[in-house]
Amino acid sequence: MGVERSFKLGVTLHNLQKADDGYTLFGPNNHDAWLIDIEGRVVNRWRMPYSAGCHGRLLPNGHIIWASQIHTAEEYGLTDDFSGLGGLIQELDWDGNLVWESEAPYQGHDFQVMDNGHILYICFHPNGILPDELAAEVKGGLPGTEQNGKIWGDCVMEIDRQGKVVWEWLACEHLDPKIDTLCPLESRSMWPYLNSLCVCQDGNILLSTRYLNQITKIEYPSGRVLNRYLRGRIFHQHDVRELPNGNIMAFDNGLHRYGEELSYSRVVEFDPSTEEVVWEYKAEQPSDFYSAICGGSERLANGNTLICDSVAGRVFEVTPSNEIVWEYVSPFMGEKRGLPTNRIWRAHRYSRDYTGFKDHILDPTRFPWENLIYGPHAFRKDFAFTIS
Amino acid sequence: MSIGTASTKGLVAYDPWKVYQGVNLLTPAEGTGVWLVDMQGRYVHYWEAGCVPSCGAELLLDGNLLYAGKQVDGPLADLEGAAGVLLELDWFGKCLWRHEDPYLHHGFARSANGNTYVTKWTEIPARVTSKVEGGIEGSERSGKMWGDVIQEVDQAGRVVWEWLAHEHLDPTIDVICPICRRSTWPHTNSIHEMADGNLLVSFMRTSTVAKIDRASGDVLWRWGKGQLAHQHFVTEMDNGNVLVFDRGLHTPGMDCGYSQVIELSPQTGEKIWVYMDGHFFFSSILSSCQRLPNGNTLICEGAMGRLFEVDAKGTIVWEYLNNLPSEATSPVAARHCMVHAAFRYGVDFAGLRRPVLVPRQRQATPGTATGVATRLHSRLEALGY
Repeated sequence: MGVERSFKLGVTLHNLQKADDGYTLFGPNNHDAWLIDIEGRVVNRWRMPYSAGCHGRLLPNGHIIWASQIHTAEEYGLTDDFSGLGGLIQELDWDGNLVWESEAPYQGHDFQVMDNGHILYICFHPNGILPDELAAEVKGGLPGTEQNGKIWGDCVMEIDRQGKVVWEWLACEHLDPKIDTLCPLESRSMWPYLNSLCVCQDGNILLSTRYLNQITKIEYPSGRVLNRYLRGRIFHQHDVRELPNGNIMAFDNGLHRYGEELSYSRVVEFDPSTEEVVWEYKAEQPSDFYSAICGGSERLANGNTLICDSVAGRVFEVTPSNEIVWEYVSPFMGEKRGLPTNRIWRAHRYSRDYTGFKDHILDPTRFPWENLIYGPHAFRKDFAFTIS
Repeated sequence: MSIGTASTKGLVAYDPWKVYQGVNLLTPAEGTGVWLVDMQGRYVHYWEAGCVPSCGAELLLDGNLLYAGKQVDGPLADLEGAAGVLLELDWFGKCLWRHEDPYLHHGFARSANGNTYVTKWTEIPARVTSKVEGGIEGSERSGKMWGDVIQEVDQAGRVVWEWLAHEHLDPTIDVICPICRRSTWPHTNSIHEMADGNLLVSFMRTSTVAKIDRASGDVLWRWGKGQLAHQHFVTEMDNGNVLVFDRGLHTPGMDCGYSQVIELSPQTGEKIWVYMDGHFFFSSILSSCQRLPNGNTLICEGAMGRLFEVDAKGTIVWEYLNNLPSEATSPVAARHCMVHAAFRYGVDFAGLRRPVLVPRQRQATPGTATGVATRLHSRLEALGY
């Protein structure tokens, strides 16, 4: 069964005094996106035409923007080293009607809507394949694991609302093989393996360069590398974000931690000017919180942090003193590589007065069957089952 | 994998028709003693050892318990698996035999001849360490590498046989994992006496299991390159095959670690049976596995405090999430207490010949300190035992 399968489902902990209030958006690995209230009741559901190509967010106009998976790695002629693929960005209104879409070839993992309405996204594009001389200089990784002898450099693309690529960043043109070395236990099919991006207040871009065990900031639009943060101090991280206070927060997955023989994840907040870690969340027994892949963290208005423990399908909120004050375990089953899973790629919290909710009624009674089957009363908290 | 704040604890699944009936011995990582619980997780017996365990305790055929404890202020207490004392306790917790050595670590094996094999650290000479490959450069422990010695000690504590790993391993073959420290080599975390008197060992940092010839000290056989990733707990089964708990830590190229229990043939090196369950079964530390007489396998997913039994097809027929009280300081009430190792003993096991109380009819346990017993029993009551 797995210890996670023994979890109670739905909202499993709720400290009314200390927890935030608001709505949480997430997508299981299937065709749904769910918006739940703080009690775990469904207040909106979007049925997507395609399964999640990882990410989705709400927009201030009340629409949802969603990366859809329209191609598998196989269809691109790639091995499953290339995961998190999407390929199509779609905007749907509150009721699930398609209002805009654009193909985003080779798109994967994260994307962000810029202030000007353009979409910035990560992709594994053939444009980024490293020339052989450069590939030979890239250090680290498991020897002989290149993709048909080639290293695919990640790319970041910006498309306008007509789907035209207006800006492109290729890792192979800006990273430095002497500095940006791959983890020795990872595949050499990709360099550096981007899994999240964030446009900063200064207009530059933070990239989560996963296989390098560092966070890289690049200048927009020149693309040159401005900073490399926490090199060798975080491991295969995800969801790197700039906080309103100027600090950077990241989900340190902890796969392949150098010199440590215990697997655990943590969320770190650091000051980019000093690279000093000013706050971190780790479970009291560190191995109690471990999500090898995906993972996310979001700072809330009340100072707490919402953490998405992806592999366990668990979203929880912690105070600055690391007390868990809200926890939700997703009861929705999706599928990954043919196996059922309740994992969640990322979760976002929106406050009650979020502008996107202005013209909408967030009423659980609009979803009677969804709430009956998946809502707070669906999962009795006290039974233990036996097979007989 | 993670522990949530609320989950079903104790007995989670039980198919009485399919399990190997018996009692379960488990050593919680944060306690100072060993528990025996029945198939429904009910208290049967407890031994108080007075010190934190460095590995799973085992019941001997005569009913005594062998327990490896940690000396908290030992010279190498910072190294993973540090121990320091080996105790043999009788049913009532009275210490019958004690072997102390501040350099002891990890496990032990009681030999058929009544002696005991123990593992300890010894400094590796510089002429050898300079040849050892792998690991993070410069990560030796204050410039030194600690190697393993397996000793056979008799009842009087005399060392009657000794094997130094660094005299028999090959630095070009026994290479340390690239992201591990070079503080120890090879980091033997489990030893087991085989039917032919030779030793089966688990070298953690080089991710190999090996058979050591007792007479010559030669490494007769190694297995694991490209197959194991920081395994723990290797034993020889009655059918001559080897069973090992592969933790799956620092796996190359895997985006999501998972553990496996592997049965392999030492003659052919072929994997005969494998149990895995994707990311639902993963423990980067501790852990054990035991083949049961009915063909099922008992698995202890240490970090998760999860004990379960699977049949040959991999179907779970028994599952218990450890929530036994310990004297641990962790106040996280919902978490499962981590378990070093778990063993099942059936009704015919020779070591279960002692008087036993029916669950729920326990009295004060003789041989334990009054204070500990009182606190424990009140917590047991609170749990409904």
